[in-house]
Amino acid sequence: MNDRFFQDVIKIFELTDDPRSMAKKGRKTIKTGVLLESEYDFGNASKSIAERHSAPFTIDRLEQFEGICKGITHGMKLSIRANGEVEPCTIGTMGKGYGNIHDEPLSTIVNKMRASPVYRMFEKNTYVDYRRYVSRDLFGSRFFHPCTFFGIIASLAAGVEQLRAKDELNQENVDALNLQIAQEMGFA
Amino acid sequence: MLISPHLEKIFSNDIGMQEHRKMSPLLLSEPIYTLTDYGARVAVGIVDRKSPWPQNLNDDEKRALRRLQKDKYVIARLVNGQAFESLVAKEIVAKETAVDTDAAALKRRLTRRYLTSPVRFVDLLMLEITTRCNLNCRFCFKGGLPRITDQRIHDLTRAIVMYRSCFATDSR
Repeated sequence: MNDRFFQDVIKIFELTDDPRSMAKKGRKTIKTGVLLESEYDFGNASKSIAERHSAPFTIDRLEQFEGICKGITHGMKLSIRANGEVEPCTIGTMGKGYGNIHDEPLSTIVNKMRASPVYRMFEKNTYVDYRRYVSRDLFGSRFFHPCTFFGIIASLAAGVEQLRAKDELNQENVDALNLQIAQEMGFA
Repeated sequence: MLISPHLEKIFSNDIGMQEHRKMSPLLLSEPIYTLTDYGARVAVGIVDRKSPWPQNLNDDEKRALRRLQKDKYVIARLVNGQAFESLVAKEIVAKETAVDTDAAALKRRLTRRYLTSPVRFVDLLMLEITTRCNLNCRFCFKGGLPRITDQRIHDLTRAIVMYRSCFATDSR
């Protein structure tokens, strides 16, 4: 990347700071990520089901997850993913279920956030409705980090609701959905 | 204040009718203007003086927004609707029908709704331009995602402009 590119970025987005200096300021955040490295169960640092045998968070005790995080319903940031999906939490929702900036304006997405199944699920703690769709063969039932479970259940909820809307909710499609999510999250 | 004969009949035996009349001219199912979740965040930003006014708002619209911010709702038939309709088009204000005639209860309900706006505390926008990253960081939890780069920069710019116009605080 040359200077011209960054000058264009600053001009287009009317930035007050050079993005390169902003990246330096952001190193703290990256350090935090490294600290959490050992706790995440998915992505590049994913652990096998056997390794998670003694993990503290279990899918069978949903009370462990209640009220643990408000980042999804009342978060402090909005993220726009590379595919245009808007999400309030990078981890928990895995970028599904709120809306895409390529389909509708950000203001519309924000205004209909409350109506999305993912939001309602986290607001009312109705995980239990979707727990039965989780494939324990693919994901296991114990996790070191609660966000692992949030990521799985939120992706499943969004997918299940889409299948339900198309009247295609059956075991075969749910299995395919589980496999797709496992691949995206780095479990499979 | 006028109340339809139908409602007059319904409330004729209500002990609190006189007080109700004094407190509110709100009629059942009549159109009212309220803030959307986005609008509530805009209003919060203005009150806290953390955020600038949204772009492209004229003085009438600013006055309308201030009034909504103060009163929580505005009865459509009592105001000149042009400014409010313009805000409706900008998705800052919603036009809905009153579900009850108790003004105080409606105000409480709306205040609660505004306070629980999903974007009430948002002051940071994170952009992921590409997932074509080969650094293979161990703490990255997006290892399995398809490798893509967002080429539709126009939509992204539009989203950033909208964010900057009301969510952005200071240099963020």
